[in-house]
Parts: sequence; structure tokens; C-alpha cells
Amino acid sequence: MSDDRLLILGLGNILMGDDGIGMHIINDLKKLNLPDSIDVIDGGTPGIDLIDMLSTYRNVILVDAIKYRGGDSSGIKVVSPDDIIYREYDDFSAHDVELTSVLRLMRTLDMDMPEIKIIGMPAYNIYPGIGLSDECKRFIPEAIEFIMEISGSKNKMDFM
Amino acid sequence: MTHDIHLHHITRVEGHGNLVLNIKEGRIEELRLEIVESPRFFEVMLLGRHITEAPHITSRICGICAISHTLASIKACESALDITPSADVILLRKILMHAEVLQSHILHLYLLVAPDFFNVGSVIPLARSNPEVVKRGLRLKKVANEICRILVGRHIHPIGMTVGGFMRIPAKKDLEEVRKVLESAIPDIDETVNFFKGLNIPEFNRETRYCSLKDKGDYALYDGKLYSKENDFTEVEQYRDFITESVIEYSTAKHASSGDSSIMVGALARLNNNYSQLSDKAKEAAQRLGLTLPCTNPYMNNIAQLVESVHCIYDSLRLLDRLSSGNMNVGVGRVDVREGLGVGVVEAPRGSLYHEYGVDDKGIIKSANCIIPTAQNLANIEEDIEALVPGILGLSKVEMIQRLEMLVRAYDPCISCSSHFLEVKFIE
Repeated sequence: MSDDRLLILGLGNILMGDDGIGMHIINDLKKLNLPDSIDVIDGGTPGIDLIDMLSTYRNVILVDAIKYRGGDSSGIKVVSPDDIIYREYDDFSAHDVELTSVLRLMRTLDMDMPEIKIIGMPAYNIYPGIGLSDECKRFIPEAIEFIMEISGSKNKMDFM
Repeated sequence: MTHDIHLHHITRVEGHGNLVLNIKEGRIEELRLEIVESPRFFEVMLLGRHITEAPHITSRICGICAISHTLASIKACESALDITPSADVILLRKILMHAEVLQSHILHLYLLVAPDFFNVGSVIPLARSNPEVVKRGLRLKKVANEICRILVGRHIHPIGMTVGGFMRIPAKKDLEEVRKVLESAIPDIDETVNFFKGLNIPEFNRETRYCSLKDKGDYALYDGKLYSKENDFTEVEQYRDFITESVIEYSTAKHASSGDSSIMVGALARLNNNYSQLSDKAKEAAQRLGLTLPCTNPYMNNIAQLVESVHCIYDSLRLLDRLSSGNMNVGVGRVDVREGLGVGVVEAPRGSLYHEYGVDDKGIIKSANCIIPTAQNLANIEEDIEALVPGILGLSKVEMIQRLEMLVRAYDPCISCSSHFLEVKFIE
């Protein structure tokens, strides 16, 4: 496990419209001059392979599209893994291996878990197609600014 | 006796499918495997793109079969542009195909199939009761991921492979690392054979048409001609003579047939067609697991997946030995575009994967077709269910459902279109 490195990981599918917002933000972050201690990775749709990605870091910022159930869906949300709904049943399907299932499996197996902060980007158009909706796109600058801030890339703020 | 079985969202398969089965007095009145997701829209996204972009775009279709989509796409591009990759490129691609087949089969066997044999709902309770079993599966999966990481940057959406070759030539130490990683997997794969040997596979047999690639030399995963016992060999460019797709009203995925028969693709089909080309260790594993070929029991597809997993580890070691000892010729040469039509077929973990692109003289894609393995198996699954049901009518409804779900799951269907999502509830 890397003690001193921070992982900024984008999740989602660029072929599914706004679902790929995480990838677009990661691509923009890669163009910036971030500290060497930060790894910026386009994770795509890793499924269970997320375990390998997460288990080698102590601190992780995940950037993903979020589907809201009620509440305000008009802006970026910062959530912890505990904010994610845990299913009441023990389902687990490989393709559906979203973050909750992976975290749950890691916890059940008593694996080392990083500190995770999830940047939830509002997704408006989840449909086959490359490119983001205008509604979704307008949040990118704010997201980058925010990630720079919480990653310590700006104003030397501590992570978390 | 009347049964009305409606399995909404079959569990532990990739993606969302429903099974509707209505049985009245021992007769099936209604049977539908409804597929409500499909990746076919992805073909439209390729239109108007430059052909060299196709492998990178299609690698995003599936997080599990990213190498297969990338390689089927690369092969279609190379066919259209008349590019012949070097022997080293082909060897490295074969190792990567092995890694992908290994990781996909292990994922299916440990995380999705194993819970059936422990009578638990998913891998989560299995991880509670038998953590060492799940950890073994994760270790094996990591082996495959490591191989991809070393050779092409990563398994998910590989970035190192491209039309003509590789973006980066693996160093000698990289290949030594791949070898070490493979050798480290041998005790775990051996234990996996012991583990699955003890599991009780339902007995059910139905003849069908087994379709796969078949090659003169190696066990065909990366290359070969289209083959079934009934059709003999067909050139990949003539795939429309070999396989016919048809639209089904209740399914967003097309059904496939060959001649007048439904077909089965995937591990069991490959073993039925190419068993003699397996590595000795894989043949030994088949024997230990009680798999005798030809086999017409679709439930045995899981066992066939395990036999292939053994093959992938040992055959990768053999392929490493065949790579050039000096400087490898895997770099990308100049890619000259031209008007053309190209077909690329590989054996993805779940079966034959077809990509076909038509390009204009500027290399712009004007037509695209993609046939995924799961779509090829759907009609066959329905016919299996039809044949299976009369023999299990004496079981309770719960047991029937379990037997049916296990059957669908044995095919390891990958239904979904790779959308990744979080569901979040905010308490206001």
C-alpha cells in the first residue's frame, strides 16, 4: 500500500453520455501540473478490478456520475462510501459491481481500505453516445477546482 | 400443474435479463428470455470515426472483455487496411487473450457460480463463510490483471495495443515478470481444480451446434477459421454464411443461428471443437474434473471454463518461450489508409466476437457490425430451457428456479452495455 500517494480515479463509461463525466474530468486533470505525489487514472468500468486499484492507496478521490434518488440533483455532491445505499439483500453481479458492492466485499474480507471521498457529478443524459450534455458539462470547471482544493494541489490543503 | 415463473432480473449475470416461463399441465405455454439491454448502439458511434480510433472506442464497450473487443477491432482494422502484424505481435496478443480469458472465467467461477454450490445468494455471504475461497479467486484474477498491466498498461481499456503492433515494446525484465506472475498462479489454479471437482453439476444433455474459431496450430482464442462440426471451416470474411442474426420482438439483442440450428459458443463449444490442442496440464485438469469431450451438458460450460483457465496459464508460459530472444519486432509501422472492408474475429471469454468495418479512402468508418457472444447463445438457452423443463417439473418452484438460473448462468451471459453508476440516497 502506498502511504504517501493520492489516487484520483475517474469511473464511468464514455460511450454512455454523461456516465463518462468522470473520464472527461480525469482527462482535464491530466493536462494540469499536479504534484508528482498524485496519480490521476481513467478507471473506466473496472468492476471487481476496482479492488486492485483501491487496495494500493491510503487516500482516494473517486469521480463518478451519480444517479440521485430524490433530493437536490442540480450540483456536485461530495459523499463518503457510507452515504451510498447499501442493498438490503446480498446480491452481487459482476457487471453490476458498482462501488458499493466492491467496498462491501472488501470489508467482508477484512481487506485494507483506503480513505475514500466520492465526487458525485450530476448525470442528466445516460444513453449510448459519446459526449456530455450541456447541463452536465457546465459542472466540469467547478469539479476540477474542487478536486484541486481537496487534493492539496491548491492552497496546500490537506486531504479530507 | 401450473407454474408461472417470471424471473425479473436474473441474478449473478452481467447485465439485466428476465426469464418468462409459463407452464400449464406439463406444457410450456410461454417461454421468453427477455434481454432489455444491448450494446448494439455502439456500432453507430463508430460511424464517421477514423478507423484507428475504433479499437480505443470499442475497448470501452465492456470492462470485462476489453482486450477481446480491442483485438477483434484491431484485427478488423488490419484486415481492412491490409496490415500484417509480426510474429512477436501475434504471440503477445495471444498471451493477452489468455490473460483476459483467465480473468473473466475466474471472475465467473468464483464470484457468480460458486455461491450456487454453497446455497448462498451471492459472493458476500460466501466471503463471510469461506473467505479463503473468495481470496483465492481474487488472487487468480489479479494474476491476469498484472499480465495486462505489464504488457499493455492495464486490463481495463488497454492503452498499449494498437493497429499494427504495440505502443511500447516490453523489456526483457517485463517478460520475466510476466513469467513469475504466471508461475505464482499454479498452486492456486491447481487448488481451484480440486475445489470445483467436488461440486455437483446438474445432469442435462442436449445436442446443439458448437461454433468457435479453429486453428491449425494453437488452441484457437486469437486466430483461426470459423468452425462447427456441421459446417466444417469457413473463412472469417464469409461469416455471414456461417452465422445468421435475426431480430426478436421481446429482446433488444438479436438471436443467432447457423443453418437451421441454434448455436452454442464459449468455453464448452471451444473444447468440443479444439480439445486436442489443449495443453497437457489442461487435459489433465479435464480428466480430474470428469469432463469427457464431446460434452452436450451446458452446465458443464463452467467446468470447461476452468479447464481453459488452466490452459491459459500453462500455454502463456509456452508462448513466452516462443517470443524472440533478442529485440522484438512489435513496434507500430506506418499505417496507410485505403478503402476497404475488414473482419476481425477472436474468441472472447464467452465465445466468438465479430467486428466488421467498412472504410473509405480517407480511413473513415462508413459501416460497422459487431456480434457479441451472448447474443449468439440466447436462442440456444431458450431451447435448453424448453428441453430441461419437462424433466424438472417434479421439483418445487424454488428448486426449478434455481435449476433454471443455474442454466442461464452456466452460459456466463454478458448482457449489459457497461454503464457504470452509483445509486445514492440523500437524507434531506
